[in-house]
Amino acid sequence: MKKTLLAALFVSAFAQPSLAAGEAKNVIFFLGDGMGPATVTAARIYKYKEEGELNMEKLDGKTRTARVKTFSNDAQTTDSAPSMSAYMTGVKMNNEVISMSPDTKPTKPNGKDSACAANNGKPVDTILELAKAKGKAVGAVTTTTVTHATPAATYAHICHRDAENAIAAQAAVGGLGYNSKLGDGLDVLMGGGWQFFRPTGASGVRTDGRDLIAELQAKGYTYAASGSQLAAVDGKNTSKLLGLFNKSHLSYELDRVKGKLDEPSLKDMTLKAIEVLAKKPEGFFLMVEGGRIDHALHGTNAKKVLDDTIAFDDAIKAALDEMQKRDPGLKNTLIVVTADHDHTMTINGYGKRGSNILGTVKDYKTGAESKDVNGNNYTTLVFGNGPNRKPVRSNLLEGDADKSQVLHDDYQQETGVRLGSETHGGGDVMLFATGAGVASKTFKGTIDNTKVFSLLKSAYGF
Amino acid sequence: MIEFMSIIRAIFGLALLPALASAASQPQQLSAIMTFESKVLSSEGVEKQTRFQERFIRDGRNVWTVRLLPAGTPPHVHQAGDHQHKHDTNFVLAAKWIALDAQQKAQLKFVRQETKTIITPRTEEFAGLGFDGSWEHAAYLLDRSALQQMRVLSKPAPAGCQWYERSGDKLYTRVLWDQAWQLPRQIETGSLDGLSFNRISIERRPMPATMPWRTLAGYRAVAYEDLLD
Ligand SMILES: [Zn+2]
Repeated sequence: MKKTLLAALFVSAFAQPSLAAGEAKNVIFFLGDGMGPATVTAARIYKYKEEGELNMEKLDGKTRTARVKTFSNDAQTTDSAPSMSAYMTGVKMNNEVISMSPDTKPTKPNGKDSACAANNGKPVDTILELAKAKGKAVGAVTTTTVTHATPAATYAHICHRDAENAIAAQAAVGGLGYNSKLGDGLDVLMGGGWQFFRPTGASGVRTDGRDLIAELQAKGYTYAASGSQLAAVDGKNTSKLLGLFNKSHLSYELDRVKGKLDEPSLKDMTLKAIEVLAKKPEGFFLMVEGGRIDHALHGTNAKKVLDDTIAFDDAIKAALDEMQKRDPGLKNTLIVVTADHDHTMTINGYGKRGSNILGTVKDYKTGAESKDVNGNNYTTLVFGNGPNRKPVRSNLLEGDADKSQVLHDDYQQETGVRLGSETHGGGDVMLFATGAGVASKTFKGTIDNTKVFSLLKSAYGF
Repeated sequence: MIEFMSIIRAIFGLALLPALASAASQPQQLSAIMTFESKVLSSEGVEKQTRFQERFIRDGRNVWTVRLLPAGTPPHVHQAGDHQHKHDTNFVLAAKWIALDAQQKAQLKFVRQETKTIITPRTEEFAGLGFDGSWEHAAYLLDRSALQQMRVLSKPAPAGCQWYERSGDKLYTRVLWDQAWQLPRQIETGSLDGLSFNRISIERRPMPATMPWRTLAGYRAVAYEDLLD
């Protein structure tokens, strides 16, 4: 028996010389929701100009970039539930389904309560659960509700993503509906969505009368309800941290900064999460989501898209710097940055180098406004579909005096097909990786989203 | 509201002035129909015209606008996936209800009769949804102080009304203002070369027996954020 195993190991090692062999003690998985290639390019130009680089693009000298195929079990174009679940479990499932077997059918919940039948599919293990089982500290932070599809796919299993009350219960240690695969519980959970943790009598939407925040506090969790409360948490002396900073999703970065709202930035949450999780000698798994990039894309509001993408990129930079201090050379820390799916945003030509990516197209030779066939100018960023398709196009003003002007915070880019909300795109997304020796080098070529799970698993040596 | 407010703002956005003591203003009860028309001649020789109507009802603390559908309007199409998690965020056919709260701040809600829901966005989302947060703009359709910056026209006007005009090198705006109604009767804007023309006409109608915002018993409240996937 032993001999066969050794032989198998030898053969597979020989066939795949760059197979990871458990170099990663820690994994930080960054997920930009909806952050397709055009969003990455536009954010780069927005902050660092054409010739510059985002922090995510600097990972490992740009050589470890892969393209990821994102289709789901039943859809050419996925939603965030099966795409994140594929990363976390290695299983392709149907749209709306969270970390369940491929036969699971989405069943629309009753309000926010689950309507999943008992025999409707089976839970499949997530990389976070596997890490927990190996004694690692585990956590998820996001700018959406913590019960939203992406974070939920790390720690919950359910037939429909909208059952956010049931998803919250899966994180409530020891209570009814708790996901026992989480052992003594998530070590860090931060984002928005306190309404799903509180009963209807206390401004929440829980119909079972439970106060999950109180339950988690009774289990030893430190609870922070605002940015200033989070800043006051001593991460070095905290082992269980729950942070819920908004009733629903956190604010867009642009609104958070302009309104001086008492919500943490994604960077603040990421650094606090590392401080709590990295104390564990066995290592940790942390998922960080820039979740509202997707919402701004659905609204075809490119300015908010780019501000939230830069906030996400800044969180990556902060995590890289912090982990370099704790693990010089990132010998035992794998950092992966990717997106769960594309959107329909694209970049029109032929603008002059150096022009404002949010503005109208300026001819690269003359600098004059480029015009459509009717003599009206147009913006560089537009969408394949979405809410802003005018019955008759007109000339655009490159100012910010009001929402009709293209540089205004609330300007909505124009779209081809008119839909109430812009759809996801079906194109491949990018994946960047660094650290943990050979492990980060296994992410290359065009790979299926389910393959990311097996690469994470072998990076850990599970 | 999206289209309607952006038209208003496109007209007055060029010189927006601070609203006149908006908190203190208490507009009179009024019910009207607004007709929006546009005409443009393209460089390919195609003339494009659009027309739609909205009901407008206001009292001292509420403004209600809703699209009117002409007979024969095709049924409106739900987007694929409406019944999954991709919720309907197209509010063109929802009623827009702007009300002053206890702090005298204008709050926007969308009311969907077909699903008996009231959708409430957060204040930061208002602008993205086409409402700039101004009670003045909602209740009077324009910033009344902007009228003082316009030229009075000697053009004939109905009793109690006055025409105002502002003209730039390419565009003009004309407003027929009714002092008693505290509302425009007409807003015209266009290009001086005559290639594009827009008009909003406001005609008074009798008040409804019950204000529409008093007919919402049994409606379910939904947070706008929960419609985002
Ligand atoms: Zn989305």
